[in-house]
Amino acid sequence: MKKWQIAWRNLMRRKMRTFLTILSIMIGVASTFGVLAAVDTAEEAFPLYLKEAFSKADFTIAGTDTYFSEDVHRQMSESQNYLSVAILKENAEFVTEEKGISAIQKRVVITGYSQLDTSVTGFKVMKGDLKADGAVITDRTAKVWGTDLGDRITFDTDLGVKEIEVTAIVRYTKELMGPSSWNMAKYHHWAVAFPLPVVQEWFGQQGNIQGIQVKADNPTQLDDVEHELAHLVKSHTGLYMQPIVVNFDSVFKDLNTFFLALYIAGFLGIALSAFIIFNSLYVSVKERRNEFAVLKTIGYTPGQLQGMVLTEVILVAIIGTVGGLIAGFGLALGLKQLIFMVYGVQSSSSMELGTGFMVSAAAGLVVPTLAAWYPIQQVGKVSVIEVLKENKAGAQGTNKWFGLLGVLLIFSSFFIKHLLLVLPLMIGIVLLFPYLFKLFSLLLKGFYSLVFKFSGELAVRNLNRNISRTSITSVILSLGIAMIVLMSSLNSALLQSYEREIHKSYGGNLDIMFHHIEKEDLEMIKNTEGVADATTYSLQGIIWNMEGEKRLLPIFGVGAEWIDRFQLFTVSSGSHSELIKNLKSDEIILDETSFEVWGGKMGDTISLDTLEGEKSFKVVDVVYTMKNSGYSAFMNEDHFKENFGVKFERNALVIIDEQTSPLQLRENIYDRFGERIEEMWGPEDWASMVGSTITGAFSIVNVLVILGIIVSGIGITNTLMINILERVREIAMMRAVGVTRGQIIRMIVLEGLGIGLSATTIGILFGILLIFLTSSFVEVNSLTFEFGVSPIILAIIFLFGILISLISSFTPSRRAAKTKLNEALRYE
Amino acid sequence: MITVSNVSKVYSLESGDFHALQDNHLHVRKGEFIAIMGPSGSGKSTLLQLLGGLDLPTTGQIVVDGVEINTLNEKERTLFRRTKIGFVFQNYQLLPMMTVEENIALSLNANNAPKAKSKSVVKQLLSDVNLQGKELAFPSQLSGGQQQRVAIARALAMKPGLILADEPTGNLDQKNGEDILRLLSKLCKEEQITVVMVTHDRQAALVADRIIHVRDGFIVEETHKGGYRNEEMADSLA
Repeated sequence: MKKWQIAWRNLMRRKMRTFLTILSIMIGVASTFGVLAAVDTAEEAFPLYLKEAFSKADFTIAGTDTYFSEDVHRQMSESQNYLSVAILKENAEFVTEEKGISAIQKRVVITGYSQLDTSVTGFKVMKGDLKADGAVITDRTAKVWGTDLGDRITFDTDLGVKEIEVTAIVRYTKELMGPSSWNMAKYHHWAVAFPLPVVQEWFGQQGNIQGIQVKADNPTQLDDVEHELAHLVKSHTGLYMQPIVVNFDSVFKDLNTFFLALYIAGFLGIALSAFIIFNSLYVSVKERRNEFAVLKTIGYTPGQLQGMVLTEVILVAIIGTVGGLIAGFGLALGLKQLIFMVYGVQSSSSMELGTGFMVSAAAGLVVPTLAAWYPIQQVGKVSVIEVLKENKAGAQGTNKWFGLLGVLLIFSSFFIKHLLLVLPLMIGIVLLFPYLFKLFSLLLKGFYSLVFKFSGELAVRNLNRNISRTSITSVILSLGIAMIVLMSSLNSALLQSYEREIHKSYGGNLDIMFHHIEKEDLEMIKNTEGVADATTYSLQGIIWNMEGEKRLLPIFGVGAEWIDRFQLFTVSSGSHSELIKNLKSDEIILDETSFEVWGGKMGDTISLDTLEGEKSFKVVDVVYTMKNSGYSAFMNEDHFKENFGVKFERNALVIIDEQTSPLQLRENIYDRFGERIEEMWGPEDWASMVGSTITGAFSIVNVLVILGIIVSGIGITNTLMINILERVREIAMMRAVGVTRGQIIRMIVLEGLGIGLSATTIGILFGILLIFLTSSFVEVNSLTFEFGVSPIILAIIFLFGILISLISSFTPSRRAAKTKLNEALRYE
Repeated sequence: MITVSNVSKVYSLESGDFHALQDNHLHVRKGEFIAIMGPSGSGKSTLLQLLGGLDLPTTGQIVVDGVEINTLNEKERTLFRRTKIGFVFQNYQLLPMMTVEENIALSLNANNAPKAKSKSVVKQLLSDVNLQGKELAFPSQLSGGQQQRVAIARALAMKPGLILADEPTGNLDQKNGEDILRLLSKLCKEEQITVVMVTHDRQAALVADRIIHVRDGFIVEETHKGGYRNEEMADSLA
């Protein structure tokens, strides 16, 4: 007990330093815990969410025509092996008294279900009853529409205005995915669920349905159910069956890269805390050399002295770790929410805290102890004779071998084609930093002397007095700055790259998705005001059999006569039309992402489910596209229809004439086709949507890096406080000979600024190097980016670094200015 | 030059108030050399700090060169010190990262004096303290006596009317100590600079025109030069 009490008293001798050290451990532990727990939760929850959102059913039955007979479903109802729900989707316009809402914003897709309360629909009721024969809406839609249970909602259909009572409000779900505001309704339609007979009656489709969703009663009977359904669809013409496949890779592409970036940012936090602990302890040991020497003279062994200091380290580590775990839990919750929001995942899954808790608790205890290893060794080596003779140790030189090793590590990172190159690069920077700092201080000397004169000259000299300590402090900030330069520039470069690519391979200025396209529709589109040209195309998700695993591959049916005008991909050589024209019935083109997922080589075949069963298609080319977020394949449209039997098209591509704005074009199209339109997307919508995902993901990483930078700010404060403490008599003497408080404050602030300037400048340079190195291999959402840096981003980061260093210098400078001269000048 | 009237200094400690100085009076003429003596904790250093405006008296009035320094604010006192008072400390208090000439020019630079002027002042002072050729040396490269001479040169840089020296020979051997006392005495006589020196060393105090004895916070006794028992020693130092 006494040992801990003594350790505590020693810590309380330097309250501010102890507080800052504990704070840095807390932030380090919190960032590690936060990242690990949030990523673990996301990794656990995302597949479950996908499974829940996209594959509540096991199979779907669809028709090659727009509708097929409800009798098929009646026939299925007799089966004992599975549950089936018939579906009919129609479009209408919501009737609202809300002002300033355009027709486009009122689009609603009404889905009729033969049964609403099943595991296939999976609606989670918040209010009301799914069996009450009324409308089912989500809580999100109810909020925007201002509708509650029992209210009547009105829709304008082709067959007149219809009204229905809201009988159930359910939790937001993928089946009833809708916009979160009237503004977002410009891009996405609303969705409501009705009992099937209501939809059939409202739209004059009595006896018709569009699809059937099937779920096996027992997962072990999937093969039997598949066999049964295959038999059923064969007995009807114009029907086909598909298993429902969730392709995690294509939905959350590059999630692992994002998680890795998060891990690195979290690691940065704990690594920076280690630096601060090392620094604090190193100085504390130096300060207490006299004390240790005296203890040695009365018989304390080196081991006992080391034990004393180790007890202090453990005490600080325990307090910091406990605080960090509590703060980390809050951070984990926040990060989880951010990650889920960015990737549009709705899940109420519980947090996965186990691994994060154990790893961060262990890191919080072990990392400080390891960081304290060298200073603790020094405790044992204190020489009584030297201390009592007051022999001051000479300034320690920088070890040139460390510098050389640093250069080698930085050089090695040029050959690593993975984001992990950050680690050798950063260790290299740490080792090389004292040399870079010396170099920088030479430049700083001239600048400071010129601009800040007396205080500036003193500040530069002081920075060079404890070059190891100062450069360690500076390198902490430098690493944070380098990371934030990389992340911010990557963000901006990827956004620009996406915007460029999406325009190149979107196939026009607007993609309209209809409920279904009639023969005369294309001419109507072409004759719409503002349309320069238009075409229709087929798109269908086809089952791809890959080494026993089923995946869903979106395939475009492409016409040779229109592809040159509506370019859905970019080709390396030749014309688009030649490429499509030369495709044979069993040939297919993959885009780069699907080609990479496949892992095969050109000329090999892939296996797809067709009308006639499984069939091989030869991969004859690889193209680049951002259409469908870059995961698709292309076939000649005639071969597409032959193989997959889809007789109707749903999509139209439009090229805008030069005089019309994109918004006006949408209005014109909507005026002509009304609620038949389900969705309209332009490349700018995708740029904005994907852009917000990319920016959101990077923002999360940046939050963590900024936490790291705050830790480095603590490091600056800590170092300056230590410097002041060491120089308290010196400062008092300066004050005694007439140096004003203002000059002392300026001197200390300029020392902090010097640390900040060098850290920020060197950090930015290494950040640019990181961008250069990663530009050759990093892919986010299938996007690569070209090396480039934004001067505006660099300027903002530069100012941020300077601001942090100035804020960090504030307290130490005030404290230095308040040095009590009579106490400081008293004889030792 | 210096008038101290009714000056007391009380420190509030956890154990209660500590009276470092109690109701003291003192008058020092321009060009006078005063030594303050007394046992440890008697209040002599506190008195020196109050004279230099490093601290403020709890009660009473201190006038230096016609300025009532206890009425000045922090910045005014600093600027007053810079221009009117030179300090010399027992352990020299030179800045280790500065050369000799930079240390001497410290107050000149703090006052933003032109480089050329400060250079010529430093050159003259180095000659005065007999340290020519040591301009670019660092304090660690000098002996204790040399370092104290640098400290005296630094104290003289702004041509002050008053030098406050706190145990200036405390860290020096006898020969270097005598050199420093000789230098201070010379400054006092030739430049008419008032010197107030705190010392434990009776021999050192003998160089002063007057010795003030402080005990338990009170100025208890004054001894004038005429009262020296060892006149010979005093004359030899002068």
